[in-house]
Amino acid sequence: MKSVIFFIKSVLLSCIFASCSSDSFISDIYIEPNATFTINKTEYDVHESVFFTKTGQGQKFVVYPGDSLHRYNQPFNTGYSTASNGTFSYAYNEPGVYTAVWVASSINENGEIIKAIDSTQINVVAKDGGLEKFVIFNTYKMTEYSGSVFFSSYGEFISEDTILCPILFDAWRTSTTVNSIKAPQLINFSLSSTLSKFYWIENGIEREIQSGLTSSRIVKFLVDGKLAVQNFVVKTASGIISEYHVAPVIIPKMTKFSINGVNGTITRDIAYYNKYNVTITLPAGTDLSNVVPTFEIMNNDVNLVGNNIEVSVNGVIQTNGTSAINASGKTVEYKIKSFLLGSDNKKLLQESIVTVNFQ
Amino acid sequence: MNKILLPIIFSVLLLSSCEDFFTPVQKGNVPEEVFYTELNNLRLGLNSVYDIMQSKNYQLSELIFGEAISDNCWNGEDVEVNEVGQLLNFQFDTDNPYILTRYAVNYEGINKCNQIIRSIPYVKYRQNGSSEKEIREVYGQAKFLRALFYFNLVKTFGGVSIMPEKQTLNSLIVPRSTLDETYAYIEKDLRESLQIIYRGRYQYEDAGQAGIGAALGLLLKVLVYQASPGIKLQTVSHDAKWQEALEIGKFFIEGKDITINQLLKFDSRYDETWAELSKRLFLESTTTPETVIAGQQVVNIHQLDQFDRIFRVIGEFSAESLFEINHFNYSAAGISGEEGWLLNGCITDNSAGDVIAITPSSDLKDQFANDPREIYTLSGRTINDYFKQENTSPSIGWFGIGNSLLFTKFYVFPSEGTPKVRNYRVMRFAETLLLYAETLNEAGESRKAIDYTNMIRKRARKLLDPTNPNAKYNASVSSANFKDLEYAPYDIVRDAIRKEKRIEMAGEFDRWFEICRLGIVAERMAFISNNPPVEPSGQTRIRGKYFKKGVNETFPIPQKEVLISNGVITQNFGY
Repeated sequence: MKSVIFFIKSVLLSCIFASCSSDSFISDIYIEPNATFTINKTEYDVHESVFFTKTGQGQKFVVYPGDSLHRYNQPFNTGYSTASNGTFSYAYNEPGVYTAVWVASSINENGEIIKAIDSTQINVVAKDGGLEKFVIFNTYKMTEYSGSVFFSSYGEFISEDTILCPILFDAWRTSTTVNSIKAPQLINFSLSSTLSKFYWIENGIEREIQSGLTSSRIVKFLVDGKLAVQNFVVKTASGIISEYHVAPVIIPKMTKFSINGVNGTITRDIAYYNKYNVTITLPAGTDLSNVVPTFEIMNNDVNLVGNNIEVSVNGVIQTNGTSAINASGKTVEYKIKSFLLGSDNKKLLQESIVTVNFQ
Repeated sequence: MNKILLPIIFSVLLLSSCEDFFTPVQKGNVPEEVFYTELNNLRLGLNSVYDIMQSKNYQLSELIFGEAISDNCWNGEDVEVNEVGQLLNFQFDTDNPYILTRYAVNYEGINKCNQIIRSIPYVKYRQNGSSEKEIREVYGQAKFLRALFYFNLVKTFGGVSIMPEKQTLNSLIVPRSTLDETYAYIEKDLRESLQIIYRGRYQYEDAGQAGIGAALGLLLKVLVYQASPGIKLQTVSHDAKWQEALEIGKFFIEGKDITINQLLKFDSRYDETWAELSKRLFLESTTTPETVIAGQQVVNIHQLDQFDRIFRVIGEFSAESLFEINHFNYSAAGISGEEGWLLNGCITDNSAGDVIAITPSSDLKDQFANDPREIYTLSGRTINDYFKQENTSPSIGWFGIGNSLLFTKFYVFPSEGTPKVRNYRVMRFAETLLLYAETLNEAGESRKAIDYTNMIRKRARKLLDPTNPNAKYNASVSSANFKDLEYAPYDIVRDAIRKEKRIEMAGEFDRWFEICRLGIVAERMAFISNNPPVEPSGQTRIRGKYFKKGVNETFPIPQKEVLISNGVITQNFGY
């Protein structure tokens, strides 16, 4: 009986070991790797998310996006495991054409890792390397404030490629070295891509400038003694070139106002760049309902003033020494429009308000 | 035969009893929507929300994302190859645990607020009206707190999932709302909270709860954020938001009267009838959209306090504090330190080691030239005698990080207790004044903007007043050189207010969000990248170098959330 039991036990044991030595169950769950995958677009912006999705099969998936340190089969380069559902997202820092490699792998019944590889080209371009901010920085130290308070001109986009920079008249000084719009200017700018470069075009030659750096204080807005539109260029890392035009336009100032030989005192409203006050004391008995002022805009400087100035009161154009006004209300408001001298672009405009107070 | 039948009958009986056994009637189950039917329970629920704000997870998250990562700081972890270092250097992945914590802790707060809000209709109250007012005030705080948590999220992640107040198993995953929708939700919560929250400042044993000053201050901030150039709303004009901020500022700061309709924007933003809204918010029956709230009710609730007092323990819950979280060095459970402030090791003294050690940058210090607030804010290696009054070697910090500077703003004198007693100041009236000054300038009232900014500077100048016993510690600062700001055009005023705010609020966990909303974060990151400190240790800091403009202004939604939702919750651009 014992030998029968021993025989039965031996048979059972053999069966157990026989089943253990077979890896047939691995072959049942083995998935032949297939590395096909898709991306969601054909062309991407810098930093735009690229979504990878598996269309093949396998037990594990690894992606090599193809940029620096993430190239397939290169020493010290690494890939990324996908999420468990076989998806992966990535964003490229620089423009270029990248070869993204997708590796699918499975382990077969012999314990071997079986891989399949697929790849695709990903085109990343710097679509928007544009100019976002342009400031003519610390142009002029304003003497009306204590301490160091500078006038800076913050550019305003008046179209996609044209920027208007208002300039305080006080900055129109004779100095050609510092503290004047006539001197080379320091530019603070901001580009939408940190990889783009910014150039000032001087006589057809591109000169690269860097934002806020003293060594880049080279930009001149003066041509033949007059303010002139300057051209700039943004070049993205992928070679897209965008041109910008920057127009410096003086905020007009009434520099003289007199009636019957009596001069008014002109001051700027300290809280505004474009509001001026004139105080004038006329002799008692003067008929304020009909006075004819003489006035001067920006010292009649021929480099600033031509047919580009328009002076009005209540919408009525005023002519120096000719137009009469009714000042019986003790206050008259002048509006001065100043276009960029020599330009036909009517958007290149600055306006000032001058309030004349009669004592 | 019986031998067969009996077992069958018994078996049938036995098995039939199994059904009841496996489906027991749950006893003691409280339906979720009536979790807080008693006012006291509702208050306990509210306490549990404040408890989140008292937690280290919450405050550490504010410190890292609000201050450490900004241009105000160099941190010990800038040079570490750990997850904090990766975060500070913008080399993190979407699994970063600190990003997940920020996301989770704020949603935890939102969930608890929602529990309170959905229970409100079921709370029993007496008919004499007094409890109804109390319920309303808890309701107002829950709405304010929910708005604050969502504000934290929208500043960090952009538009986020708005969780329904009544959650079901089918509504656990909610797609993200847009940036505009998220801000609109926050604003609505705050505007509604103004109708019901306590119209005063909680003091004494009630101190620490949010009153109307907190809600108005946060609403003004949320409106200013929406108006700011760095917040890219699609459907709302910045100008409209400046005007709304102006309206709130005139009410809160200047004391101008305002109608309920102006506060709520009921005419233009509601589908509900007034009766429905009135019922939902527990409004008094006499309240209508035309009801006027006198500005005098709110204008004197908060004022500026002394700058050398507000960060002392004696200055806790001062009239300047709009919202403040209480900390103390004991607990109801008798465990020392359970309710304590736990960030001392990150800011003032890292000798014991902590998650992060923040120090001021020299760029921040440079803003303080001839400013009497400097010694109360930061220090170089030579610690001012002010801090040596009780101990010649005060427990302030560590040296050799970044520019070898230290934050002194949060130092606690030995006579005040341990650092654990220090309250966490969330919002101060000074910030509100500066937000209002900014609003005025944007609205074309630059003179008035300067007047309000100068209120802050006048308060700072009092530190130099000969009658102030602490003036002797500021001997190197000349009162004559610390002047009021002068009236000036828009751009000069704008820059002056920004600088004033950076000085006044240095180290108060706001700077990163400030530079993001102003749209200057990229240039500030470029600045710190180009101006790294020279350290005795020779370590190289690369903070700012890898900041990606157009991407890193917001952080990624935690990857876990994206995966769990199976992609319903989408990832941010660039991650």
